Parts: sequence; structure tokens; C-alpha cells
Amino acid sequence: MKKIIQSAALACAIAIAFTPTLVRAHGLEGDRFFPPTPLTDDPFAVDELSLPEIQYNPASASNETDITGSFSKEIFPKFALTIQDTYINLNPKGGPAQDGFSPLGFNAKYQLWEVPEHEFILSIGSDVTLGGTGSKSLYSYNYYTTYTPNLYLGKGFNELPDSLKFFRPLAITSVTGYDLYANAAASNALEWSGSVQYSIPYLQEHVEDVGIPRPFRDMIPLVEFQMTTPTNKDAVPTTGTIDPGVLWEGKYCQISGEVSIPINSQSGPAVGGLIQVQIFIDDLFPKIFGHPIFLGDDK
Amino acid sequence: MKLIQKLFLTLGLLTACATVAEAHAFLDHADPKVGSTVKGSPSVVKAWFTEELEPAFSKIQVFDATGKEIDKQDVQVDATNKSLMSVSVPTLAAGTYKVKWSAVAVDTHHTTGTFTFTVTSP
Repeated sequence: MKKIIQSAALACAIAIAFTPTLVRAHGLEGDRFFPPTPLTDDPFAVDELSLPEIQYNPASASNETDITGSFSKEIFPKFALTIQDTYINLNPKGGPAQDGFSPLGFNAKYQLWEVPEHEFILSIGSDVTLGGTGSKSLYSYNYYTTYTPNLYLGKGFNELPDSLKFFRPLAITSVTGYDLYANAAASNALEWSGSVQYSIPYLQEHVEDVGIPRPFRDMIPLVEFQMTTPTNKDAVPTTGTIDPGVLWEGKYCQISGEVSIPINSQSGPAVGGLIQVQIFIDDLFPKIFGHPIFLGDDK
Repeated sequence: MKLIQKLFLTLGLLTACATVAEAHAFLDHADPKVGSTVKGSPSVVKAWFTEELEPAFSKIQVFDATGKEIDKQDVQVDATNKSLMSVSVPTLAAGTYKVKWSAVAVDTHHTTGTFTFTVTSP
């Protein structure tokens, strides 16, 4: 029996390695490429590797630096699983430094509804932050698990008339979720984030070649926001940041830089920033990534 | 070694790996240019891509304003420059034409896209 399983596994590995299947990945909907953005999880259930995302807020009370890695794998067509963790370093003024790992985060996502000609996608999914898995030395350590059902949206502005054609490179994405804590004492919260993007590659490739040279031709200026609204009566007001920045699309990776502006004093005392490197693993290793593990390769 | 240094070393190794890989084929530029207006009919529509193409699975089509395909269906990937794909067109009347392309890179990545150009009387 063991030999049969080994032989089957070997046959599958050889099939994956040598079958000339068409590779489709990235977040493509019609003519639109929806890039993975640092703060707003994109609506696509595809293979992605974010390593690292470095978030730094030098002026915050805790002088916090976060280094996050996440890996997503398409399991079935349009369905992907993600694992994520963050290394947190705190250097509070006048206090001892702390560092350690955040709780392990998992995500399941399914592309529910796609209309390529309208550059539209709607996906559903859920985040799970596993209680008890992070470093106990961190103030943010929780022994309980958090579940966050999410709704993901992406929409391009391709239907605008010719008189507004230079707005067609615009696109929006959003994620709306609700934190459900496995602890009655904790306040549930609405999590809402989004991005407004202007894709220069889209302008050049699908609207009008206005002669923008590289590297600017491969850039996507954007503004993101990430908000948390607690829903119990005595909760603090909505906190969050507005994050203008730019993405640069390389052949095999995407580099993002954003400035994080707190929306109120409860969100942070000063402006911070983040840098993210997103590796296009489906381009680097097309035999392994860029297609689901089970049930075919085409979407 | 500090964590940041390790991360950048990892990135460097990944970048080195990237030199042996291929990527998605996106449109680099076209002739007639994307969204342009040209005087008189072109005889060929050409599209240059960011990667070399697999001729058997790549195509380019030209449609008139009514949605009718009007190209001569003689798609070619240039033998000396495999990132260049072209198709011949008959003499085009004044109007706007839609170009639809489907590109499969040599490593089988598949992308599609559209753009338009306008022809005016010479």
C-alpha cells in the first residue's frame, strides 16, 4: 500500500513538472491587473508570497517595527489558503524592548463572482488568528482565537466614456470584515479597508500610449485606508490610517512604499510608513505555482 | 547577522533565481499605438510584448465598430523577435478599431488584453 501511495505521489510530481498547462495567476480580471496591496487584501485566491512587509512607526509610543511574511496557495480553482505571521519589535521610550511573533494567522478565500468585461470581482473568505500561538512576552498576546468573516470587492473603471478615458486606469478594492472573538469579554469590531489605485500600466496598455518611460510606466500610485470600528457600547472610536503610496511592478516582484497617516489621536501620535516586497512566485516557479493543486488549471 | 540583513540576503537569492525564470507577457507597445489616431489605413497591426511568445497559443485579432473581425487571420510571431506578434488588415475605412490579443509566454503564462486605435481619412 505504501509503495502504491509513493508511486502515485511520484507520478503526480512528474505530471506537474512536465505537463504544459497554461499558467494563470496574478489578480487579472479582463484587462485589469489588481495588484496585491499592503493593507487591503486583494480579492484574488491565487498563489502569492509576501516576504517581507516591513512596517515602521518611529514616532509611536512603542516605536514599533513589524516584519510580516505571508504565503497563499490556490488549492482548488478560485479557492486559496494563506498562512501569515509577523515578527514584532517594540522599543518603547523609557521602557524595556520587547520582541516576538504575533499569533499565527490563516485565511481561506473563494472567488465567488467575476465579470471580466466589467473588471469586477467579489470574493468571500475568513481570517482566523489562532489564540495562544504568539509570543507571550508581547502585550498583544491573546489566548483566544479571532474569526473574521470577510467580503472582498474589486472593480475597474473601464466603462467610463471616451471623454473620461484618462480615468479608466482607476480601480478600487475593499475588504469588509467583522472580528468575532472566542472570548465574551472582548469587544467585537468591524474591520474595513480599501484602496483607490491609478494604474499607469493600464493607461499605457489599454487606454492610450502617452509615452511614459520606465520605471514610471510600471508604477501604480494609490491611496489605502485601514479602519477598525469597535461595536460594543463603551468602545473607543474608529481608529485607523490613511496610506498614500506607490507600487512598482517588476517582472518577478512588486515593491510598495506607503506613508501611514493616523486619522485621530487614538490611532497613533505621528506619521509612520511601510515597505512591502511581494514575490510573484508563479513567475519564478511556474511549474509549481500559478495553478491549483486539485481540479485543473484553468479558471 | 541582523534580521534585516538576512531578509535582504533572501531577497538577493530570490532575485538571482529570477534570472532563470520567465514571466507573464504583457503588452509593451503597439503599432498603431494604443489609443492613437492614424491618418490612412495601416496594412499590419503589430504588438510587442514583454516576453517571448509561444506562437501556437498566441493570437491577435482586429474588430470593427460592429464587432466583426476584419483582420486577415494570418497571425505571425516574428521568427527573429519572438516578443513581436502581428496580423495583416485590409484597407481600413475611417473609424475606431478594437485589437484583442491573447498571449502565451514561452513558459505557458497566459494573458489577454484589448486596446483601440482610430483611422481617419488620409
